[in-house]
Amino acid sequence: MTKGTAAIVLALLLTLILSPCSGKAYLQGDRIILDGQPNTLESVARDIADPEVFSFDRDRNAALANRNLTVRGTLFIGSDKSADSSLSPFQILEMNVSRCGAVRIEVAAGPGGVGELHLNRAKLITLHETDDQCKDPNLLIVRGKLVAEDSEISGNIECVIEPGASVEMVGSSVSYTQNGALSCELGPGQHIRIQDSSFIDNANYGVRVGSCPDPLELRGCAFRGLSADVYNAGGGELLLTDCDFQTVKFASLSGKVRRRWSVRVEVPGSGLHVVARSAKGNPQHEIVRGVSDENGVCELPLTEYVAFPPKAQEFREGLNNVTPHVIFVYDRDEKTLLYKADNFHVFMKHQRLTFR
Amino acid sequence: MIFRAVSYVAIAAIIIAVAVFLNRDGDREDVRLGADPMQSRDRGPHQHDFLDPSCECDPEAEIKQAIADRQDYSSTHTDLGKGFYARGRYDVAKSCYERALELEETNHQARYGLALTHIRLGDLVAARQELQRAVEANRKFLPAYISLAVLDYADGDYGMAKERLQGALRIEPSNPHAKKLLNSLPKVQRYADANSG
Repeated sequence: MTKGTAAIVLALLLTLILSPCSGKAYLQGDRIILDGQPNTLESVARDIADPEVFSFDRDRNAALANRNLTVRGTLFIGSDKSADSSLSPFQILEMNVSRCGAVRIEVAAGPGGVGELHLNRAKLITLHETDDQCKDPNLLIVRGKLVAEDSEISGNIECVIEPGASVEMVGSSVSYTQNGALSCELGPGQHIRIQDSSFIDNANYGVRVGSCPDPLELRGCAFRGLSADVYNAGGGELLLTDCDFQTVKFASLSGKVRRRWSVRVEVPGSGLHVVARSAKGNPQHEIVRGVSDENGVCELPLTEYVAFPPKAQEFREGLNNVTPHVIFVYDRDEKTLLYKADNFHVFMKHQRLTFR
Repeated sequence: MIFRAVSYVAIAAIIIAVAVFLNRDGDREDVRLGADPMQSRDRGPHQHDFLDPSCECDPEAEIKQAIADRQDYSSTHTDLGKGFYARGRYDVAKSCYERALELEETNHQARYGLALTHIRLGDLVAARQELQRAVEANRKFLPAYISLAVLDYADGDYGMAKERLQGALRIEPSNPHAKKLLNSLPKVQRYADANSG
């Protein structure tokens, strides 16, 4: 072994030893700070070693935090993703701070690194009453990374996504909030993936989108809020595909909310070209193209309507409609017209159009 | 002869005496007038039941009991289901409708609500089954007919959608939803066969 090789091996060993390979939780002021990775609810309770501050009940598979949390490293809550977790019980984190509306779970991002919160079959709840007694929102503030799958956040905990954050949320829910369930402020080029999730608020809005330089697409989600299901506060463009909502509100005279549905077009063969064209004369006119796959299926996202101010709130049927569409099916040469469907209205999830 | 007449009179007198004795507490209106005993529960506070000092009834407890009793009404669970459905809580709405149907299998409103919930949850097969049962429970329940037509439309079966809508219009010729949906059915035309190459 040469001296150079030995130096490299030594450097690698030192790096491994000094790197934050294990999680560490500690109390700083009135907050619990989570550094390193991986942290689990059990390891946090062990590190804190004070049941008055943070405790873990193995029988209930639940932790009780009596202080707010700042995640600077990685925190995993829930089941092991490698196992078949669909039948495993939820792991629970109960937040219990001095008063309702004071809960803060912060997934931090800074020069020291990006915090990550992973929820997989997890429940994040507060012990406070969630009805009229607690108007101030508890907050889950995401500046780092949030990955949530098959998880539930409830008890008036609003999920706030800040510029630069990375969010992947699938099959999860934020419910029983009093100020808003989901709030997004995005930066240029920033994309978040939220799908098949529900955001149910009891007082204000289901989703509020502030600054959003690029069109933001949310798929398969349900939004409900007493003031509005969807609140476009920043004047950007929202693409809501296969989403369940009824009312839209705008904060200014700019912005759009495009309601789209994925339509499954079935054609007799692969490689056929499918073109959907909305009714002519509509200012929101669209042409959507696709090619059938090996099963003869082509999925097209088609717009039902585009909502824009000042005609906001309570979109009546037929207002700003882009549909009906004309669907053309061309042969592989893209010239020979095989089929045509006139007057095709898109209005719900799982719509199918079959050409035989 | 006289003895027989006296014995008949004696027997009649005994019967009358027994009847008077047994009916000595028969001043209850529902007994005397043959009224529905259930109606007597709605009597106002002037009735002696509430004034009887020996009665230990607690009106508040009675109301609570009435609410608790109503938990067993299918319509209560249907109404709850509608509320949760409107709030987007489809999972809870589904449970409410299912409970309503456990209590009353032929509750077509609950069947319809459950079908709409299945649609929101993406289970169109279950939705179709429930709508068909709703129609079986009430042959004139148009919302179920029209929703079945909507499912046919979504499934690309325009012929069946048209048939159902025409059936709905036979029941109610001026139904605006059926008319509108009938006018919005697509027209599919075939121009050529696909080139197999």
